[in-house]
Amino acid sequence: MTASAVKRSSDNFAHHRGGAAKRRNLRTDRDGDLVMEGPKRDRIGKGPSASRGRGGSINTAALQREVLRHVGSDNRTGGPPRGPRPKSTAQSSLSEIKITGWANSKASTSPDRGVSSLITFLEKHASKRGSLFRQNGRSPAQTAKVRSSRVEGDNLYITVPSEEVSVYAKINGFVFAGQKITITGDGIRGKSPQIDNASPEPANDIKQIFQDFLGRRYNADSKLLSLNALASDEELRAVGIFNTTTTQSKFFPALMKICEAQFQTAQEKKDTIESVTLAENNLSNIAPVTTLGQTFPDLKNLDLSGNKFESTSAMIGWRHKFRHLEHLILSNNPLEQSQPGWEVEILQWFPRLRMLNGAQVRTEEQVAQLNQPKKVPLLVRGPNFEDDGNIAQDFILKFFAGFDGDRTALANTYYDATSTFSLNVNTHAIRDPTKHEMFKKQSWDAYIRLSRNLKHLTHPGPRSARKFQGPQEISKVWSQLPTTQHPSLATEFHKWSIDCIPQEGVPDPSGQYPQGVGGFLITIHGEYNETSSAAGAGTMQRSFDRTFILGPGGPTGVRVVSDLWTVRAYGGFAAFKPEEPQQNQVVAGVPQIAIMGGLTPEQEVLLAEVARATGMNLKYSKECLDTSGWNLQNALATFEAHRANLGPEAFA
Amino acid sequence: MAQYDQFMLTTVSAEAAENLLDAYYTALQGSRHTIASYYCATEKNPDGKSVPTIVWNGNVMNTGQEVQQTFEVMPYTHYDVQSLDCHVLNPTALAPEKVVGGSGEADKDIERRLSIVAVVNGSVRLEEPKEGPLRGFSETFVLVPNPEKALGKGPKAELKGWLIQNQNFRYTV
Repeated sequence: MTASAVKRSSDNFAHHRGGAAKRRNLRTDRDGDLVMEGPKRDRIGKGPSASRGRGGSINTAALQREVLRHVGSDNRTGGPPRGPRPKSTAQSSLSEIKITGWANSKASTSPDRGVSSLITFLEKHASKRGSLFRQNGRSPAQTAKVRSSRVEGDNLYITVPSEEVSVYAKINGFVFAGQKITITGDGIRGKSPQIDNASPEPANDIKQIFQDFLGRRYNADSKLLSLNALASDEELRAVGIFNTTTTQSKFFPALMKICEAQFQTAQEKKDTIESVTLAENNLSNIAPVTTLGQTFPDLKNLDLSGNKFESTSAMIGWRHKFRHLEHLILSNNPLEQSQPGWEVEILQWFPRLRMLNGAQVRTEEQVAQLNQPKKVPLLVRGPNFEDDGNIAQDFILKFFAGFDGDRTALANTYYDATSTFSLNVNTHAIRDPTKHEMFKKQSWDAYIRLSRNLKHLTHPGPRSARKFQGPQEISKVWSQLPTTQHPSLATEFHKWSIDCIPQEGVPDPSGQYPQGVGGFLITIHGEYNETSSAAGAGTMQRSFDRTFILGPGGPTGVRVVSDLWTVRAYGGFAAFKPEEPQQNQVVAGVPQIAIMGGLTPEQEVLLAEVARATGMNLKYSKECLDTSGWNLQNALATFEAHRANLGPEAFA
Repeated sequence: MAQYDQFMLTTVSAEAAENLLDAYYTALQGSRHTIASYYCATEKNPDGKSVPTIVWNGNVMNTGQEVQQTFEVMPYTHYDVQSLDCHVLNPTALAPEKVVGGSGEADKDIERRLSIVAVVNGSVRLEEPKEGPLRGFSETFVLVPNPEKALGKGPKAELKGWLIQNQNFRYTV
């Protein structure tokens, strides 16, 4: 990043942009005069508009001011510190501001040297820009008025309400009748004549020193910016940067500011500087250099070795910064001894860190997974059906046949006096997106009176009344519900999803084990067609979810302890289909396939043979063959010779 | 079961399920580091089976910690519970002597000893708010009394009254 490199990148940028002039913030005002918008506050120091506005040079006034603000030792800048400008508390207070640079305007031939039209010009543009004056878009609700004015030599002094000064600051640098005007005063930063005329040298000097410094410290080949051992840099010492604590503390932020100004885009910055070393800087914490995190958020490699960090808390400001950091060096810091387990914390801070102090801490795959769009980490799998002696399976087969056929008989077979049943309707369930179910009018008349949806049923009375117990109650309720036809469990199993796990603590009907005995928890999702509707309405296709707790007891030895039935609009069965693993294998396979490129068929056979015989991955197998002249015996000998030195990365 | 106050069983179980599951679904989206605290301690039974068992779309997990770790790497999720129902599973699931500060009598303290089976139905927004895929889900929980839970004041009284023992989640749409 030498000055010439910077210039080049600036030229390139202009070239890419084609007609850069088109994009400049230049425009004409209503009089046809060319107007240049003043630099926006938030772009100072990095604003391409400001720099190109001055002829394409990167030596911008804004940058100078920033440098001065950071490293200057006097009040030359005159501006307030960065941050919200202090607001005038007294609404009525007035401020005087000075306008220069207008004396030779085209309007200067008029009797008042163009002062009245200049004031009109100022008022007009101030009115357009102030939020004070703007309401409902662009029309000025209120106009900026200059309260009084006087001319001294080539200076025009105008008095305006203090709260409007910031508005005038915005039109600083505008072109009035062919002349660029400069506005100065309290609360207006920049373009002050003191800087532009009186003492431009120090700013240029310091900036030049910084740029030379960056040029010396940047290695374009390795994209490395070496900011190590800053205090011992001869040229920085020569200009006394480190003589006072003030300039010392301002040095790094100013340096970052200058770095920042070299780049037009974040991408350009990212591509130019991948690594930074701050080694051997005697830092006890990152406070003096913390701005590195803002300037280079995409850094890949960072060397902090040889500093005085006692613990990870010395770097807490960079926690979760540098989201793309791959390699961090912290060797020769006291924390290595003073904070056992510091590595773990560092790993958590930087999710893509692969190397720490030169040692691998994450694999490529682990990092690659992070770069995948964040997806649900588990795939939908088929049923988890943990049956025991087909108890659950037999029950399910008989249950749905019975429910579609003879519900009373079913209730008497599987339900005893303590069995509980309830139904709940989810009237808001998502419907099958692939069908026209979306638009089908749902009617819940046949179910809703019995629905025990606790989300809606809030009173204890109905909550008790809509839970049914014992075969009589249950079969009575069932008889009030539409008759059903479920899909065949034998031939249409894809329309079902059935999970079953053992369930302990199921009530023991013998009373011998009050804390319960073993049973099953069965969850079933599926669909059915109504074959009749108690309400006499049309029949519909529905989806349902049904949970059973099975336990010992009842006439068959297997009884339903609990039966919870959820009915909802038809939602299809696509969700039950197990998901296929995808992408991951492909991603992992890419580099392997890339290694195969450019090999002859014979070499491919050799490669496969070496990989098979040694267990090494293709990359290392190929390197082994490369060094062994693609001879199988030599390659295997080479492998044996180096085997002890090979790390886990060599093997697949 | 008939000998116990049915009204009490109904209200206690419904309230317990509502409170715990409300908090649970909030934790799934907002405080995933607390997820493990919703599960009962891992315990192996004489028959070789262990609790808790959590089945997420067919994937089996055996500890609350595992569920937490899975959810900690989950993308954005927002659950909308549209229906809820529950039954008392076993009124005397917790042995009387295990009730902290309890009477120790076989037929007492039922409101702190009952286990619950609860079913939830709703939708879940995945990956990103508003734009992400919307799925329907059905979830079944077995909730058991927390044997650590105490009444009155103190850290033990702050504990959850019920914990998840078994759980089954499925996308349904």
